Amino acid sequence: MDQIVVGMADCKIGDAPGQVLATYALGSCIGLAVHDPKANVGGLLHFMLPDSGIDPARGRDNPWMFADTGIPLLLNQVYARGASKKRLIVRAAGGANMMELQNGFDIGRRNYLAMRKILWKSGILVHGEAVGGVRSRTVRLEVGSGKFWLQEAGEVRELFAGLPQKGGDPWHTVS
Amino acid sequence: MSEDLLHQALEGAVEEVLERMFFTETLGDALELEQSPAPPREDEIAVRVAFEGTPSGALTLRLTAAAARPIAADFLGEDQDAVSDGQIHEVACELANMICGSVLSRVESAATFRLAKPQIVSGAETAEAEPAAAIHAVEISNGNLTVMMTTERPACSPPAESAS
Amino acid sequence: MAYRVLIVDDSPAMRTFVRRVVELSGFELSECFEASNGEEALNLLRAEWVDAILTDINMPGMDGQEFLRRKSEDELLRAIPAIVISTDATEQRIARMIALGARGYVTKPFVPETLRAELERTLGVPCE
Repeated sequence: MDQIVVGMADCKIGDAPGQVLATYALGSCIGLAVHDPKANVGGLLHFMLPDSGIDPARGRDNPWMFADTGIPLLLNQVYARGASKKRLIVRAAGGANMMELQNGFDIGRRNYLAMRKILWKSGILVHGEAVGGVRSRTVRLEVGSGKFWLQEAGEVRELFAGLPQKGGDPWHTVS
Repeated sequence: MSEDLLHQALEGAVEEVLERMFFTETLGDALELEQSPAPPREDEIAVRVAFEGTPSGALTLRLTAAAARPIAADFLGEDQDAVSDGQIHEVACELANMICGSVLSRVESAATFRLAKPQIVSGAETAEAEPAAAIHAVEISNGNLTVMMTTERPACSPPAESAS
Repeated sequence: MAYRVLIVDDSPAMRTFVRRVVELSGFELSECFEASNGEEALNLLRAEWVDAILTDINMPGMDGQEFLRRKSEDELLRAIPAIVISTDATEQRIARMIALGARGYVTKPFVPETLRAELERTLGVPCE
């Protein structure tokens, strides 16, 4: 097993069966995993903020930091490695509210909304997600099998495609 | 009391509809407004949705035009410069329709409502501002969104009537 | 397999949105018919076969409830699965529409994935 770590404001693409893409400490950040089961190509993006408009220079230097620059680039990179949009299985985790205040600056929620908008406009629906709540998460994507593992509150479970999973926070309902 | 519940329903409906289907977040706290604000401005799109039921009434939505274009483009999955004025109005009408339906479902879970087709309204048509039972205004990207609800009698049946 | 779908809603914006969700859900569409009320929908169904109907309730002219009632009384049309998409989240309405033969009910506002799940439940998962 070849574990490839995706840092904060980072993204990695894998196209070999033994590879596992992993990212840690997803608080308000979002880990977005895409996988094409036929081409066996996968990508994992760990972005931190919704909109590069607040710092366009940074968005150019490190597009992975922002949803609006990182997500389209992630998609283009997996397509370039042979993935097909129609076959893509998409999962997301993170977007937690790590601050004690309930109102105002909920970056996690804003990240999640930005992600959903960008995916919708890119013509992609999500297959599984674990978002919201107040806890940090770790995720792993197995490139060979497409399995997506979620670690949360000390427990590890698989996030299946097609089955909605609640994040546990009242503001968010996975329908 | 019932006006408070109506206002809460308005707030909840606006946030849920904007986020869930229009990919739009509300920025900051609700805006402070007069009870009966002036007719729609030149740079605003206004939509009115009348409804029949118990009670009957109407919801009026006002949306800054500059904010309406990206909302319409996002909803339709199009680029901003590819959406027509007609499409922007259609999306604004659907937004008003959805908020109205969501509010009514929240305040009267036991009743049935019939919503009329949403209508784009101009300043002249809203010259006589009806006193609103509830108003809610929020800031969104590129502008503001305001919803006003008027009812023929106070909404929200007394607790004894509700059937869950 | 390519599907023939009918979307019934008086809002052109909503018809566009629903159509997009159906397509992004993996269902290839050979035909996507649109109607702006129940009467238009019934007229269309006299001439065209569809695999699924997605219908609103509140529409001018014949509304979705009356449309489903007439559809349920027709020997051929009653077999076509229908999913209701409506802002009306009241229990009475949902129960009424199910009693009239609706196979699914999606309350507005909804995330696209909710409609996809309802489509998959009603039509089965789309084939590759």
